[in-house]
Amino acid sequence: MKIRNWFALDLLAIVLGGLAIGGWLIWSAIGESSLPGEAFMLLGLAVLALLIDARNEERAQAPSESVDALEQGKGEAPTCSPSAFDRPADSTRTGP
Amino acid sequence: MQKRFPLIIPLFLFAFVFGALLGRRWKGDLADGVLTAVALATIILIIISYGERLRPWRGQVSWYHARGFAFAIAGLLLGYVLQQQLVLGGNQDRTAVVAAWVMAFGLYALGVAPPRRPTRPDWRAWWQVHGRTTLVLAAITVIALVLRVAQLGEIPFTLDGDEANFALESLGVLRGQMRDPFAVALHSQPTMSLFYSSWGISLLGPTLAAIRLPWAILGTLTIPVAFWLAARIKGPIVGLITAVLLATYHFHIQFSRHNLNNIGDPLWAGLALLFFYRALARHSRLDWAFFGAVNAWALYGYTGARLIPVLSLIALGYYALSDYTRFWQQHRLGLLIALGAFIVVAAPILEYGLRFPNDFNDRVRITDIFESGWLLRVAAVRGTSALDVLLDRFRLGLLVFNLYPEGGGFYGLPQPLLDPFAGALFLVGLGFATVRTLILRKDPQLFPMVAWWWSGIITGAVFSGAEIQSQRLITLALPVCFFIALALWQILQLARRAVAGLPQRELLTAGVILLSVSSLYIYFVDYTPRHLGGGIAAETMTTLAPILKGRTPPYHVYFFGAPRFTWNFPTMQFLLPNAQATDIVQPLTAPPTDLLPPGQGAFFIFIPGRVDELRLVRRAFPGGEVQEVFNSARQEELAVIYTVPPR
Repeated sequence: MKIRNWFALDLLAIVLGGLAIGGWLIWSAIGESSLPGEAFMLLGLAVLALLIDARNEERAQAPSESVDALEQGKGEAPTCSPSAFDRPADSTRTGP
Repeated sequence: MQKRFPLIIPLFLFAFVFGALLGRRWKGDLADGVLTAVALATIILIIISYGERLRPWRGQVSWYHARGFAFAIAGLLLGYVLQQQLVLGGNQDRTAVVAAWVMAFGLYALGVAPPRRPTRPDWRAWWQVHGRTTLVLAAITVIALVLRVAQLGEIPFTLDGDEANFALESLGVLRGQMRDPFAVALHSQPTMSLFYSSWGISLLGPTLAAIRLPWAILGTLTIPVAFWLAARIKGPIVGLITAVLLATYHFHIQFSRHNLNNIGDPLWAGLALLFFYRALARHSRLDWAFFGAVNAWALYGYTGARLIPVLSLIALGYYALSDYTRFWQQHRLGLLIALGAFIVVAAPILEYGLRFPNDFNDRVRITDIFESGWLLRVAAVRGTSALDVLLDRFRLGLLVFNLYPEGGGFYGLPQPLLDPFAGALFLVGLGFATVRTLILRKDPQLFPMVAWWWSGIITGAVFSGAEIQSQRLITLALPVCFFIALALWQILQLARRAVAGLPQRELLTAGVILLSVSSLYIYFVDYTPRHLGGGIAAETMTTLAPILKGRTPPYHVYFFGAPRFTWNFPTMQFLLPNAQATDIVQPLTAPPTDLLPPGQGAFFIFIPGRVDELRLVRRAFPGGEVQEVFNSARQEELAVIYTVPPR
C-alpha cells in the first residue's frame, strides 16, 4: 500500500475521525438532557469531507465513464440527471 | 395493414350472453349472471389474445382491438366488485368478488402491456454476469429467513395484546365470521392483513409460531427487494450491503417476528420505489402498472403505509419539476397507466373509506397530534407555542435512531435503534444524500430514498402519537440500512483514491460483518432474554399460559389482576381460550370460603399489588401449593399462583 493522494487521505482522516469520535460522543450522551453539539459538528465535518471528495471526483471523472466499469465496482455510480435513468429495457446493471 | 377482426365480436357477444344466462340460472341472481358472463368472456379474450399464433385466426385479430375489450371487461368486473361491496354484508361470502377484483387487475395489466412473443434469454451469459451476485443474494435471503423464523414461537417471548388481537381476528377469518377483505377491523386496520395473516394458522394451527410465520415471510421478502432497489440506485455492491444490513438489523428482525402488519411497510414502499425506478428507466408499461398497483395495495396494509402514495407523488414531483416538458413527454402514458392501476386495485377499499370515513380513518384520528388535539393540549400545559412542541418532537424523532430510545411497547429496546457505529454511519450517509440531492441538486436517483426517510420521520414520529413509537418507524428500516451502505461505499471510494493497493473487498466485508454481528448481538443476546417488549400484562399472561395449559378444567382460575389487567386480556384469550376463569375485581376483605364448589380445584393467581390477599385465600382453602412466577432475567416477580387441588 502507498499513498496515492494526500488530499484524499486528509479527507479520509476527517471522515474516520468524525465518525469515531462523533459516534462515541453521541453514545455517551444517551440519557442526558442536552444534545451533544460537538458530535454533530464532527459528523457534519465528515459529511463535508465526503461531499468535497464527491465533487473532486466528478471534476476528475471523464464524462463518458462506462456503465460496465461501474458494474464491476471499479468506479462510482454516475451523478445522473433524471434522464440517466433512461436505460434500455434489457439493461443488466442491477443484477438478477 | 392489419385485417379487422370478423370473428371476435360475435364470439365475444355470444360468450357474454351465454354466460349471463348460465350464471343467472345457476345462482338466480343478475349480478352473478353478469359475473359469469364476464368470466366466460375473459376466457374467450385470453384465447383470442393468442389468436395470432393460431392458424385459423392468423391475422384476424390484433391486440390493438382486443385490449379495448380487456379494458371494458376490467371495468365491468370492477363495477361488479363495487356493486357487490355495497350490497353484501360483512360475513357474506366474497370469493366471487375477490376473484373479480383480481381478474380486473389482470385484464387491466393485459390491456396495457399485451404479451409479446417470448424471447429466449441467453441464460449462460446472464449467469456469467450475475451468477455470483445471485448466489450471494440467495445466501443473504436464506440467512434472513433463518434469523426470522428460528424459534419463532419463543422469540420474542411475549405475545403482546395487539398480536393476540390480530390472531383472534385471523381465527375469525378462518371460522367464516369475517369475510370481507375490503374493510377495516380492529384499530381501523384493513381486514386484508387478517386474511393474509390467517394462512399461518390454517397451516400450522393456532400457535405462536403459526401466527407470526406469515409476517416473517414478508420480512424476509423485503431483503431481495432492498437489494434490487439499492442496486438500481447505487450499484450492486451497495445493494448487497443494504440487503445484509437489513437482514441482520435487530429492529427489522423484531417486527418480522411480530404478528402485526407493520412489517409490510418497508416491503411495499421498497417495491413501489423499485417499480418507479424501473418504469422511469425502461419505459415499461407493466412497471408503471405495478407501480400504481403497489401504491394502491399499500392501502390494504398498516395505516402507516398510506405514506407510500404520498412518497410516490413526492418522487414523481421531484423528477417532473426537474425537467417538466421532457418528463411529461416521455412518461405521460406511464403516469396514466399507473393511475389506472391504482384505481383498479384501490377501488374497493376507497369505496369503503368513502362509505365509512370514520372507521377508515379512526387510527389516523387517534394518533394524529393535530386532529386529536394533543399538540394544543401539550403546548398549553407546557406554556409554550405549538411550534416549540413540534420542534421538540422533531429533535426526538430525528435522533430516535441515534440518541433517544423509542417509547412504544412493541419493541421496548431501552437504547436507540442503532448502535454507535451504525448510528454515526447512518447520519453521515443521510447527511451526504440530503445535501447532494436537496442543496447541490446532484445524484437525483438518491432523492426518493431521502424523501422516504424524511417523510417517514415527519409523519411517523413528529406528527403521530404522544410518544415516538417504533412500530410507526419500521418503514424506515430499509432507507436507514441504505444510508449506512451508502456511507460505507463513499468512504471506501475515498479510501481507494487516497491509498493504492487497499484491500477494498476485505475491508468492506469486515465492516459489514462487524455491523451485522453487533446488531444480532443486541437482539438475540442482549434484548431477547430480558423479555422487554409487549408490556407487563402480556408478559405475565404469556408466562402463565403454559403453566396452566392442560390443567383447566377441572381447575377454575380466580384471577386477582384488576385494576391493572383482567383475565380477558387478548393474550390469554388466544393462548388459553377454553379456560374457566373469574376475575376477582374487588379486593378481598374476608376469606372467600364460598368461591370453590366441591369437587373442583382452583388456581388463585395474584399479580404484584394484590399478593396480600393470598393470606385470606389460604385461610379459606388451606393446604394448597404456592408457586412464584418470575422473570429471571430481570429478577422481577410477575405473579403468584396458589393451587388448590380438587377436594
